[in-house]
Amino acid sequence: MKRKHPLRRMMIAVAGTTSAVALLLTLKQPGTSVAGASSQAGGAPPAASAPAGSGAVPAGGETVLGEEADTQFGPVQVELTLSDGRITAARAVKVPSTDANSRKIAADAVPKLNQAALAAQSAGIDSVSGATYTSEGYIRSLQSALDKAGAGEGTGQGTPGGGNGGAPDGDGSGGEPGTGTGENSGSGQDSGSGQDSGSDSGSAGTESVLGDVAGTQYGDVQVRLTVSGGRITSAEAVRTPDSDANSRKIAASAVPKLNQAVLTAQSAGIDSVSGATYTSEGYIRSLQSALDKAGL
Amino acid sequence: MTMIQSGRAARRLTMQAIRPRRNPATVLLVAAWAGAAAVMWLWWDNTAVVHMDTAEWLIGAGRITGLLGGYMIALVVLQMARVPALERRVGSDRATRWHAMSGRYAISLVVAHVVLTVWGYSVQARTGLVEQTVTVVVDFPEMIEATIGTALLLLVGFVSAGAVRRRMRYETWYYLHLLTYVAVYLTFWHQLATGSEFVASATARTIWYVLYGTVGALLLWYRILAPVRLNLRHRMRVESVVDEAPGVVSVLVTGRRLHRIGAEAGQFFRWRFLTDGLRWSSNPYSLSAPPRPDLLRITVKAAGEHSRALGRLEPGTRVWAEGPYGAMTAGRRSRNKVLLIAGGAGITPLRALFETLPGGPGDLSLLYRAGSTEDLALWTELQEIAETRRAKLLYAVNGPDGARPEITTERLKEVFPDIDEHDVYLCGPPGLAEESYNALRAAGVPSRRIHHESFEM
Repeated sequence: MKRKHPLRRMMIAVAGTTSAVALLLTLKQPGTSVAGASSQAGGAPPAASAPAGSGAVPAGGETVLGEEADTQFGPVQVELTLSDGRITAARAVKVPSTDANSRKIAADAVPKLNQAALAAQSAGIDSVSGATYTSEGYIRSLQSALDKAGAGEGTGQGTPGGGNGGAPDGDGSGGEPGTGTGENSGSGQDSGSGQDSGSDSGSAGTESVLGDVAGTQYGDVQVRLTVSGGRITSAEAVRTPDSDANSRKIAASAVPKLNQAVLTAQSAGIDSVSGATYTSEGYIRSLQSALDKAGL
Repeated sequence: MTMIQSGRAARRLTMQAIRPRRNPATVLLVAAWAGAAAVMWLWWDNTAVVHMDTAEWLIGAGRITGLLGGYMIALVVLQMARVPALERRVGSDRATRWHAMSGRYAISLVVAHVVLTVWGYSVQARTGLVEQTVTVVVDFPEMIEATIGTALLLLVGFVSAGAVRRRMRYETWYYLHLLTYVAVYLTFWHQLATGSEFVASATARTIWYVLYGTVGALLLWYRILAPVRLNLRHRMRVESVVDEAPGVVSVLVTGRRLHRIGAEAGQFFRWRFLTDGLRWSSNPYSLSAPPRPDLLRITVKAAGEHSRALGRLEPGTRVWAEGPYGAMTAGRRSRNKVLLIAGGAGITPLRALFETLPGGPGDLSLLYRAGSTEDLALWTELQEIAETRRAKLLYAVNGPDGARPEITTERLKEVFPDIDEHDVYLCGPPGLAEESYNALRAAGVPSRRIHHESFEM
């Protein structure tokens, strides 16, 4: 009959499948976004002196630099911005960057850690899976920053409501309008971005609104907004699905994007994050309730 | 043919009666590949980037192999759903080979998926492989079921490997094989619960439900409901058992309105005789005569214990048949000249074709190969058909010294000078089939005009 070559056919199948898989994966390599990812990660490459460019220094806040924490792959250093005793921004000014893999791991992990620090308001945060060493260094530096801040407590500028336009995930992606500019700008001609520091304790000032808890298939989502002069100046999720590792992972990557989207949209009309549909939907529902409460 | 016509007019009449049917194999293969591409698109659409990183590559490859594996398993089940397009058009033999091939491929993909995913996770989390395996199985949703299902799939794959299967009773193998359905059910849910493509997108989930739902519905219909309906309608029983040649018996089966059973000459049914010892096995036997309103006939050579037991069937025994299956029918033919080559018990479908294939005088020839003239089962009726149809009937048996007459290119050309203008239907033991195939090809018959069903893997 027609000659069949089982061995040859098997080898063709193996070779064909392997190369197809490799091709697909190669085509999904980040092209231009490589740079984006690493700059995001480094936050600020070792030049720890200036929080340059990230633009996330909030008005009326206090910046505290944690101790450098050494890890097997290099030092980690965390910088916090606090306002009225609350962490309003967390960022890593130094991360392991000796080799591509470390940079890559840091790029993944740091935004999540920043976010976690904001949500927890303490150093009691979980390590990011796959970035254990970086996480541990981060947590140690974070703790030292909190210790320092605690020592200097009371020196903060007592802005009621505390929240402000800092990028909540501290990843410095810099998309939000005019954050961190308005320390002395006073009259607010720069609509809604800068925040009148100190003086405006009154009605037109800043308020923090907590949305309703929105249940999803994987757990609850709750959003907290900071609203200033009728504009959303910060959004963060205080509760996200965390029943299992996968949910935590999905939430950690989706929440910063959602926070960012809220600042841009200034409404609940934001898109779901692909791969985190449930979390996104819960987020949007809680967001809507927070907006309702704030009367926006 | 009421009138014996000659030359061109007769040929035209024959050609009108032939109506060759296209084999849908190519279309189906293209559809299967397009489906695989669509599944890859699910991955592509869901994945933002894959960084140049061991863990991400491993997990990415694990996802791709997992998706493809899930798709292949649906196809593997579909190929055995006895869908008429496969059984009667592509051919049961080819569908079975596709099934075996896709089955091996699907199992390889599943193994690759498991290894790559666990490995990738353990690299990412910097944990040991064993620890990571435990985490994945225990903590991830639907994974305990999926693990059991995968183990069952591997068991089914193992007992289907040639060397193992040959050592097993067919029935044992067959019933173990049914575990595939359990395995597919158990592994289905983890795909939706943990596959990020499905978690992310309701469209992807819908596609998957439709894929598996369609396969399940076809399976339910063609493997269960259609056979039940057929047997309720025709209510078949054994009428009698007739000796045809040493070790060869014909079983005559009666029933209601059997001409409406939809069978064509050249096709077979899977027969189950509801009597002690035969109840639990279902075997494929070709019809050895065109169906009549009250009668079907199969002719069986005592090759195994099942076929031997058929000789002892009592009249009145109830019969459960599934079919008709098989694509070696008149629809395969494209020329007006036809040569049928039968070896031993392979005469059965060809005997039916010999009587029914459209053709004028001299268009049909049958070459019957057997051990001795005694073994030429159904010879008398073949002679009668040859006489009425003015067809050519030849036989080749071993010489008195046991010498085998070989079917060679030269002999074929000598007897059939226009052999390359024939369609050839071939049915017989593997050795004879291969010998004839090679001789025919060398004589100039293109492969697409050699019609043969082979149930070897």
